[in-house]
Amino acid sequence: MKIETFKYDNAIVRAFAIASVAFGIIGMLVGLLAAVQIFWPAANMGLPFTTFGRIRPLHTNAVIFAFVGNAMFAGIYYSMQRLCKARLFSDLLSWIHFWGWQAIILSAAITLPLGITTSKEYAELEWPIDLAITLVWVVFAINFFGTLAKRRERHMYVAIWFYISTVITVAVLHIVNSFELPLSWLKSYSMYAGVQDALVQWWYGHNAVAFFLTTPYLGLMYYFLPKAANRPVFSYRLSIIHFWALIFIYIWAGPHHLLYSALPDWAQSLGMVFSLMLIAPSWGGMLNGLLTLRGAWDKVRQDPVLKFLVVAVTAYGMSTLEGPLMSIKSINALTHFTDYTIAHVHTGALGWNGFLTFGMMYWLIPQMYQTKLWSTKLATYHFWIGLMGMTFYVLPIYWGGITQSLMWKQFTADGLLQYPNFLETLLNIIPMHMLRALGGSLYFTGVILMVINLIKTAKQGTFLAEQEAQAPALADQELAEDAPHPYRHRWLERKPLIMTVLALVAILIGGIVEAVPTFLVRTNVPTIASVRPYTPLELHGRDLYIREGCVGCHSQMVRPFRSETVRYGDYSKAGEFVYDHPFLWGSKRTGPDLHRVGKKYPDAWHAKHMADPRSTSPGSIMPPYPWLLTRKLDTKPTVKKITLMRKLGVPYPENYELQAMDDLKAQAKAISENLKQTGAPVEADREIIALIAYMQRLGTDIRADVSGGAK
Amino acid sequence: VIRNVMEGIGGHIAAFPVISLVIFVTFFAGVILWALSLSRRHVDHMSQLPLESQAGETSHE
Repeated sequence: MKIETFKYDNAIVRAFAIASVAFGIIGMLVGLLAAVQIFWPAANMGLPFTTFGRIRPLHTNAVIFAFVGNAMFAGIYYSMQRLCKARLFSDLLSWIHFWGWQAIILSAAITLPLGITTSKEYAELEWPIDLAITLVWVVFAINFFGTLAKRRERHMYVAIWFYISTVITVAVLHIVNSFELPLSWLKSYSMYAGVQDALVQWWYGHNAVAFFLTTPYLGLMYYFLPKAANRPVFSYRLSIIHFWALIFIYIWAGPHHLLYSALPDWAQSLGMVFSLMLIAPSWGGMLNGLLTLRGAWDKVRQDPVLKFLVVAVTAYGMSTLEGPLMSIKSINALTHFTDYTIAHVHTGALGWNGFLTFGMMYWLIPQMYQTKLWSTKLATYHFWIGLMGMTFYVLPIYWGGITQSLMWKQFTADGLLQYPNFLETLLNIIPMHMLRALGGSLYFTGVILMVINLIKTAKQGTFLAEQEAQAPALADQELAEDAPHPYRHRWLERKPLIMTVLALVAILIGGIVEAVPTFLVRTNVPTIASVRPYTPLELHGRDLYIREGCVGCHSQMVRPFRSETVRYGDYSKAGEFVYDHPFLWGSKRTGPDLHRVGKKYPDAWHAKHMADPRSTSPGSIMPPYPWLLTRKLDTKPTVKKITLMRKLGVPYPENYELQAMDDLKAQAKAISENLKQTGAPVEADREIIALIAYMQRLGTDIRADVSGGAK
Repeated sequence: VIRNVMEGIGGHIAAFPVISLVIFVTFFAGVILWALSLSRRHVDHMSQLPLESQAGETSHE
């Protein structure tokens, strides 16, 4: 048997690791800023670019795609080479992948603060960046499968299965959710509308959590945990069940983000049931990770790497128990739209993704620099400060979220809302938001300690860019095979292609069962005759609503509960959203729901409220938007917008685009006149006029007394 | 044709949960049977894969 000598590429692993930590610091700092803005509105700094609505997607994108994304690529590229006993397929592709991904992150960091966004959560980036993501992902896929093809180890270890499912599923999710029609280079509209858009978005959003934040990290867990503990995984059989059950079930669970919304009830129930079933594979995986350390718990006491990994796996178990519980409709009624959800995702993000990344870094960097960690003590400090930060982050807002939700639902003995003023419920939990920010700062401090430790480690060692290794060629191994092996299962672990196809089928079944009826069965989205398309001015206003990220704090979905219909008005119906490209239901109520805000307040109230929210709502934490009152509305794309909307299926009459500008001006003039008479004069060509037009239209179509819209 | 099939689905939406359950149980049972029928030798080999010592890799202890 001929032994081949080859080299592992450590340089690319180091590059991704550095990018992960660097962007992690930025992403967490932005998150900290957003956390402070929640209790101290002045932290919005009076600038459009630093206002919460734009900062929040910057934070989520930075930590998901830059911090976790780069760490995932570092871990995958390190472990892939070792598990395949082969160098990565192509150095060129590796570096195109690296620089392409960083360019995407950079363009996100520029466009999101500028208000260039699709508003769909974790898919905010506009279409040219979407295309770039697709290209870079294809490069990654070629490099990944190319490496598999030239591997010298016949069997694919379970970590590789998790990576395969990541590569293909993220591709499917990204492409399906990014169907959009461009208006210009930096603006596009979702092909889907209303309920369908919501279903696709949360099928994407939920599975982005599954296949970007979970499956690749499970792969890393199955590699780095045995490595750091120096013992094999507790049960390889369990890992097989974990893998197949997880990827099969996960994809069905998306609708649990839309419980009690206008989504058809059967889809909601399906999402709930499959979410509950997810507990089984998730806990199987968690126990598999923890039991790997059986008999080695003494090591956990000394080794910070294992400390981080143990907490990461435990946090995985906690958030995967909590998630399914939150999918039970009656529990969801309490937790949805509140800070409870934010606490839940941070148990996952800070605990599972963060701690696993830190553990991996503390293990990887000394390995690649052929030295020992500079200071075990400092790493242990990082562990305790991080753990404390996490606790201080999640506990207060778990508490605050439930408190606020109960206040929303509280009736007096006379059957009136006990807290009719939304603001009262919010101000009540402000101390919790302060504690949360303290937790975030502690967690961040820990990361800085890690950076110091890793830089010192690198300085004391020598970087091994090319690590030599030896293994017999795969073809020789085949020849050396003594007997036809009697185990029929092996074929699957030997054939990446079959494996990939099976994984693809597994993830497609759930998506198809949910999506097909929603898209093709008309009765699932009952139409309402009085619901009409937006006027040109309202369309512009809607785009401003998207630009400023209003959806980050305001839902447009009144759930069918008495506590909500009394507070906001009639509950939201699927047929009301048929012209909403994209949907703007939102997922969080830092401020009140806005679906029935139309005609609730006079125009002047909105103008004053936008200029200074505290002038109309004392104590409000909403950022001011003074620039809306001074900036001129860009009406150039009006004709194009109407034509594009018609292409998307919005029934504007023939040649309406020719009349659109006149309609726009007339409506703007009327609002401006009205503002002048009520003591808040604003010229008719300002942005605020369009936003007011949109706000006043919201949810009014089913009210016979006030309905408007393009006639 | 596809349209007709899909309209047909609309009438049987109640069967969806049952279909989902059947697909899932079959799938899950299949995976468990598969995992249980793996040989000891093979499982040991697979779980040792990440631990095979590599030149230049320092032990972590």
